[in-house]
Amino acid sequence: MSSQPALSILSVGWPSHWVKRQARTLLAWSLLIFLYVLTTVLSETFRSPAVVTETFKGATFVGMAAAAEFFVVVAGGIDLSIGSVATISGMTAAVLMNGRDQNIPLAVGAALGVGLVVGVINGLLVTWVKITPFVATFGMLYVLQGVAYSYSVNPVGQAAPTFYNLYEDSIAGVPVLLLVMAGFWGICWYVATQTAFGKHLYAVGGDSGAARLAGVRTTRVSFASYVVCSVVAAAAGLLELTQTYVGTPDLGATLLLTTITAVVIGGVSLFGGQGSVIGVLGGSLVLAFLGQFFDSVQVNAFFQQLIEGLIILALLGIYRQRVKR
Amino acid sequence: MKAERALVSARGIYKHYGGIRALADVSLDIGSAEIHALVGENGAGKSTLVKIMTGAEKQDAGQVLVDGREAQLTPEKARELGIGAVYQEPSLVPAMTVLENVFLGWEQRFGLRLLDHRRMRREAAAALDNIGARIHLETEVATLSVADRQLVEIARALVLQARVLIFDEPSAVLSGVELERIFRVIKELRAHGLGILYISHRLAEIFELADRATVLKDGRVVAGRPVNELTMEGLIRLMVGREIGARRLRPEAAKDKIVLKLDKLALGHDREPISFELHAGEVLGLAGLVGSGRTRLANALGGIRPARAGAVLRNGRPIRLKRPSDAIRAGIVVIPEDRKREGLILAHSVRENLALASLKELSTIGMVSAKAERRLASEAVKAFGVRPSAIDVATGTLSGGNQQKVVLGKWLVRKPAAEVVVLDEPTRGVDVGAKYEIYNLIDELVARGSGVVLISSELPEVIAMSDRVLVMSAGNIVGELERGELSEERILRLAVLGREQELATSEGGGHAV
Repeated sequence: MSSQPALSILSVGWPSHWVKRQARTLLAWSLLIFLYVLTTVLSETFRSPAVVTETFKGATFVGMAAAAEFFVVVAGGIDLSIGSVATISGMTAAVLMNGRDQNIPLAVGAALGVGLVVGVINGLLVTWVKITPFVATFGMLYVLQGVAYSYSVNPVGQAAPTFYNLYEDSIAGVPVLLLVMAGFWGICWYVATQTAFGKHLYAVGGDSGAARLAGVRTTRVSFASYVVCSVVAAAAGLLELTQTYVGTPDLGATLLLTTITAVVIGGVSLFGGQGSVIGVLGGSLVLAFLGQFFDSVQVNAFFQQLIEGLIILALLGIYRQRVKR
Repeated sequence: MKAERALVSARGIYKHYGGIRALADVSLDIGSAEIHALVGENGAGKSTLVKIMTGAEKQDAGQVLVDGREAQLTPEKARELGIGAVYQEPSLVPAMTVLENVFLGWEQRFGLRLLDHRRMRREAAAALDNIGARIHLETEVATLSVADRQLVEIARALVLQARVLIFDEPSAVLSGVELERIFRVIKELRAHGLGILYISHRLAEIFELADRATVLKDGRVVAGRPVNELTMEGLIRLMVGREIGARRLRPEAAKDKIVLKLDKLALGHDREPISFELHAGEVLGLAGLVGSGRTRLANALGGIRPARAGAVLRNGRPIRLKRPSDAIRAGIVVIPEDRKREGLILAHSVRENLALASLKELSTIGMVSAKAERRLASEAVKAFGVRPSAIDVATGTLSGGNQQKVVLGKWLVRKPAAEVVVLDEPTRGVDVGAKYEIYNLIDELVARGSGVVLISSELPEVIAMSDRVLVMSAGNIVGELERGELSEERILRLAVLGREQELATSEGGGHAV
């Protein structure tokens, strides 16, 4: 360490092991802070707290989906059906709610149930039929899109007022949506870092052979990761419904790529075993800030894609350097 | 040893992999406060037995008894019953911390599903202290040395209150001070009443450490007795003596043309540079234990992992070996040990695999002639006796022996013929019939004037096939034996004890080699 002066600053008086282990997460959050400062300097509208709150709210849907994806990716898998699960979940809830408050429990239950069923099927395809995760969930993506479009190519159903008001409601000045998100991320952090299940996800993704020898039930763990992912994705679909009012079959089309972008920016290794919930939160906020910023300075969406692509490549380049060292 | 005193016993264990017998009727006991050594040559079945006793593999027949009762072992169950293992390739997750690894798979011990960090931290620190390891709990395992990783594994076993600890050849990956440290820890564990199964093929260690030794040969127990009733000579004699059957002797090579010369080839910083010559029409055997540096040498010759310094001369001219294509162009073919991963594309057909190295010869202006490809494959399949002889089946469906014939065939059909062929464990996992066919292919190679380097852990095979044998140990060439001097005992003694002068010291002082 002493031969690397740049890093020795960090190790003096710092819990250096912690810094090293959290480097990817810290990087994502540094980027976020940098973006925030940059946007407040460049764009006047961005200095109002209302816009920042709006940005945070905009990050809830992608953030939740990214958290869902995190659980699968960190365990060494990948779930490409995540966007279509959110789509089906949103459509199911919209149709069953049909604009009436008393239908909310049924609609929410059914939507989450759909997620559960898809997760179980994905999990079985990967762990029991032993289809490569990429292919299994890719197939599921098409099946679910097919189901959605054959049900309707147009928006269907309608969210109930109490349900869609969640988007605007606030308690003691704090938007309900942000409270929900705080709770949600807290739970995710807790599961990933403070429970045996969380440790097992990392172990299976890091080295499933070693995990098996250590007595971890590896197939059970990866199965569970798919179930958790799909259920959370279904919840993300519900959340999006608070904003769209109606269920649309093309809701989740772009969600998949955005989700994976957030996961990667958040510092999660697509090979599994590395990354953190807090990093993924940072990654999804980075995307939200970028989107808001480009909207406010009225740059078109394609340029935004270009910037996102460059950020991904730059970050992966940095991670790669760390691996080599 | 009386059965009721044994903590863990194996009783009549049988295990086959495909048609290959790995273990037959193996029984042994591990008692408390005892270090039990398990010795045997490469491929004698030591690792298989370890896998069965830790629940990583299931035996075909026989039982594992824990405290005298039969146990159906899985990795989980084995740990529950107090059987811990320290593997050669540590079974820790590199991206996780020491603390996380110590408790991996065992977090539920604290009831509920939530982790009691303070308690975990305390227990892990105590266990590491116990064995005198100064390792920070928050260090990522990936940054630890192999020795430290083994200490972490020992600590893990202690935290889980293991009563039996299995060490799978720690001396294959450790040396010097680090090994001494592990030995001290092992002896301390014995003093605390643990039963230890120590696997090794380094005999000096056995005499330093163990109370009892069980010798495995070809998957059978040939001896099990207290170490003080054994001598080094006796142990070596017990380990060797495999039959390979009669083979007609090849006429001695003329040795008038040197096809390959290694001049002070440096393969690693703690190794002496390697020099030797290979003649046309000669089989040069490379004997030594697993980890003795033979595969490293093969990789350097094949341009897979270039040497650090020194020169390789072909027909007197130095050549550059930076990548595999350099080696192939220079007429050197290396046939790797792991044929499934490095020698073949298993999902492709036999035809495609056979033609892969000859695509240039088979094509005109960039187009591969399907007809020429089929002809080449059909001829090769016939010539090398690949069964089944269909050329369009996926190579992965063939038996190990026939896969190996395809690998060899791929290079033998290539024009111009390679003058130097390096074979790394060509008959590993191959049944007896196919073995002989591979030997015949080697004979054909030398008959047409190629020089062959044969790396093999099967001593009878090395002796039967080679004109000359170089013995390697710990990365160095420690001896050269001519055809007339070849015997399993001589080779094994060199391989196990290193140089002759080291033999004297290790017998006198009982020091680790």
